[in-house]
Amino acid sequence: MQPFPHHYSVIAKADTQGDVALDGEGPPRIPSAPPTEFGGPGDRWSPETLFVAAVADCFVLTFRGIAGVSRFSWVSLECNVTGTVDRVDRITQFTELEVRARLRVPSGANEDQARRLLTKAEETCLVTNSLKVRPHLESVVEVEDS
Amino acid sequence: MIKGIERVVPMLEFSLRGVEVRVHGVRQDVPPRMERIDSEIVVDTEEPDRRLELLHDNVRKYGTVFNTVAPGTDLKGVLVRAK
Repeated sequence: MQPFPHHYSVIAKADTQGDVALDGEGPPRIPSAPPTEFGGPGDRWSPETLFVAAVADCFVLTFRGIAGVSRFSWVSLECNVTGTVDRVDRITQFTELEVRARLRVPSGANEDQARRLLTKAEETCLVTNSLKVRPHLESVVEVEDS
Repeated sequence: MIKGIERVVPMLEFSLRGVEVRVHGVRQDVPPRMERIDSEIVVDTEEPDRRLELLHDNVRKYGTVFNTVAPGTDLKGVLVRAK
């Protein structure tokens, strides 16, 4: 890992009509549009869905890192995140983040450790630590048949 | 931010040809979080400077994602005219 702090840059470009083009330093361009709730077409990533995706992605990658350091053996992790946007004190913002994690572990794995690592991933996720709203984690650990 | 601009432009009757937003985030290690997020909004427009400031005020007010960033994260932004 490179020494901290790390820097991340994105450029968003738009004309008066059409998609917003999101460009980073390397990854493919993402075409974005408002969500249907704001009159968008519904077939593009939007700021709201990208935001929720960042929470889910960060949770999974943080778990992967923590599990690796802990030498914890696991098979797969599915993270389903729902964000709620509401207006509080006339300010539109995300007010709730429901994180539902389904972790599959091999037969014989320590389920308590699995839950602890999921909680730790939620607590140390870069994205959610940078937000006003705290996520609510629901985790399910499934043990594979031996 | 661009979605916010699209939303307020008709309300302000603001005339523009295009927008570019450059965002730069700085990550800290302990505790892990975004330490700073800087943004530069470049607007291609003939509108006067005071109207650019009005647009910037409205963009800040309607930015759902920016409104959700924790108070500890330093948010800095400028809105400038395209050259």
